[in-house]
Amino acid sequence: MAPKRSLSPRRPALAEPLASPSHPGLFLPGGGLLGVHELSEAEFDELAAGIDNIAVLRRLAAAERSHRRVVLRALLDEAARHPGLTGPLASMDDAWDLLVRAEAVDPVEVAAVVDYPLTGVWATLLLRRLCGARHEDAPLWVEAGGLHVLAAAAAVRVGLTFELAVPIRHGTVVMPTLGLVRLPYREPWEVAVVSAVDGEARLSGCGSEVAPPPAAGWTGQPDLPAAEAPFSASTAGPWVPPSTIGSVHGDIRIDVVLDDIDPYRRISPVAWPAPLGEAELDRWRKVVESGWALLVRDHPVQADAVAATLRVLVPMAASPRFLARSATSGDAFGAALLSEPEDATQLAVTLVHELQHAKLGALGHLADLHGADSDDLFYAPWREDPRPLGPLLQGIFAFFGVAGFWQRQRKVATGAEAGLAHFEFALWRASVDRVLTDLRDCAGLTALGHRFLRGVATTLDAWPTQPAPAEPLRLAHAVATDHYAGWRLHHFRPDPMAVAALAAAWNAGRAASPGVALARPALVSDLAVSGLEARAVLVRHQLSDQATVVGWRHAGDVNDWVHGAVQADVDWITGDPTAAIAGFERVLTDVASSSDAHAWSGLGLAAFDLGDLAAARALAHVPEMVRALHRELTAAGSAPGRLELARWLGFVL
Amino acid sequence: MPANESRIESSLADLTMTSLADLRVSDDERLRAAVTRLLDRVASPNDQFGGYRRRR
Repeated sequence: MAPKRSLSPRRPALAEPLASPSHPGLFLPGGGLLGVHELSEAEFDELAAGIDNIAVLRRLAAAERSHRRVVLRALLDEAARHPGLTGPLASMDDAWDLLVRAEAVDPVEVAAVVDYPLTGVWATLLLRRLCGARHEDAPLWVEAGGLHVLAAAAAVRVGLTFELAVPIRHGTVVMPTLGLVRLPYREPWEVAVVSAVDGEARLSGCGSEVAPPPAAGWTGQPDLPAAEAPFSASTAGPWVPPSTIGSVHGDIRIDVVLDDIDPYRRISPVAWPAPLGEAELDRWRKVVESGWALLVRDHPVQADAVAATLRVLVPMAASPRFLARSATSGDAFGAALLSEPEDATQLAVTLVHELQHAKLGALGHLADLHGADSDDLFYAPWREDPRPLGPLLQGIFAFFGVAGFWQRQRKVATGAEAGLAHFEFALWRASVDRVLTDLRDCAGLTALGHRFLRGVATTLDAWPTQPAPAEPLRLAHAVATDHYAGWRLHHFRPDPMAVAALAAAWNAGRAASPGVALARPALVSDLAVSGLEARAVLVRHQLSDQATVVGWRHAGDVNDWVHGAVQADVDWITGDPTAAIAGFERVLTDVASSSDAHAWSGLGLAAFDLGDLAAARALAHVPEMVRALHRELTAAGSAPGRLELARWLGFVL
Repeated sequence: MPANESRIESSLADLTMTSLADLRVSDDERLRAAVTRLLDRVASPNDQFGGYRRRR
């Protein structure tokens, strides 16, 4: 028998008895009868290295089914500690009884509801609320009634005869996998009754009655039927079935629900149903079709993995160009949120990105890669805010996947797309590498966490940046430098003693002390941070359509096209660093914007392009110190030139 | 997974064959451990990575 290694750094203490108080004495005899999930060490290392092995993905998916049931069991236990939790609805146990009845008829149909990805978001958010860790405007009984909706949906799917009250949220009831019904409501939170006799289901509430379609929604299988919308004679509004999208290329097929109705689809806060119109649905179908074709053709291994994992896409409105939004919750394995993609490539890279989140989220339910109680915050090159360790690991793994995508894509892309692909690869490869270096001695990581990151690093090291055109590489370096400098300017506060010491040295005509210049600053999260990606977006425009960016030099406010960018940025990107410096200096000379982080970091980029390497070095590595020192000296009556001061500091770095 | 491979064992109980009826009443030690681990982490910002991000 091969040796086993525990994934947890410590064995958790046993909990109090877990059975519901309403079912005393029904404990199964004996303990420790259940098995546990496990991975081979080789499988763990494959995951870390970014190898998509379908057998391992299936193992992770099975573990997620267990995790979902652990969440539901914890929810039942916590609910039992909240008398009156369900208000006007039946008890949680009664709702669970209906689920149990349904499972006895057809466990596969019930699993389709219980394991629906967004069911996990509801269950975990309610659990957090019961634990006092979350606030939500909806009354607690409405959120608890999510179990009733779940049970009713399962009962409808298997054709039970039953009756159960469910909550109405602002006139809407969303039954997972079946769809949405709208009612003419008077109060924000009301009660409807779902009933069924011999497979004929009805939902009545707010003085109206609607017939759900017969179990026609999501099945997780290909060829989903497009549910019709049958109505009773007194229907109050249409039953909106879930939208589905499917695409097949080669022999790889993807079928997903496009969930635009589930109240928990946006994770938090709760969202109202917003069914897409026909035109929007058509756009989504087209971009999924083209994006899937690209993924299957150029990234077939990843396409296989996406097809095996992804079941739900949550659509969001389109974002400005090069500012796509996407997210995955660890509570919803198999679901991904994303803004409407602008093209096939963006959809493809987003699917790969979210696949990485899904894999690591599932692994995190199996393994402790980091301690649970660390409150340290870290720099993440893909975020504007400082990140805790857990989310930082997620970012590392996701952008590791993104770098891999561009590593492959840059070999097949042509024209302007090729330049962009080289830029994206160089940027994300360097960004992941930087954070891996930052975490090399991180005490918050477990031994498995360090092993996982070593696996990532090994693969990353095998992806050489060269050969690549010089310009995309130069711009990737500039964008990475700019983001880090901007992040420091927003979130780091220099040690006042160090600032005073450097001011004294400057005034005395002495050289700066390197130790003082590099004195550890305090991290104070700037909650108002924004615009750190402006130059990265500008660069992407430049690489994809240089003529347009040149036109912006004389076409009014560039901020109209790239949020957060200023005219000096256009001067910089179009190769006029002298004009750029003049522009940034104008911003900083204005008292109201003398601390503007964007202008300070821009000054460093332009200085680098002019060959003023010492000033550029200081503005890249300790920009917050240069700014604080300038402020100190200006307040004392001697206002040195910003670049002169940066150069003085940079000489000793 | 071949039997002779080195394994990493999780504390996550395998509930894939457990009915919902049994899930509610089970007193299994491994289920207790999994629930405890979940409750230890469920409210930690380290374990909530949902949220929007922007990137290419």
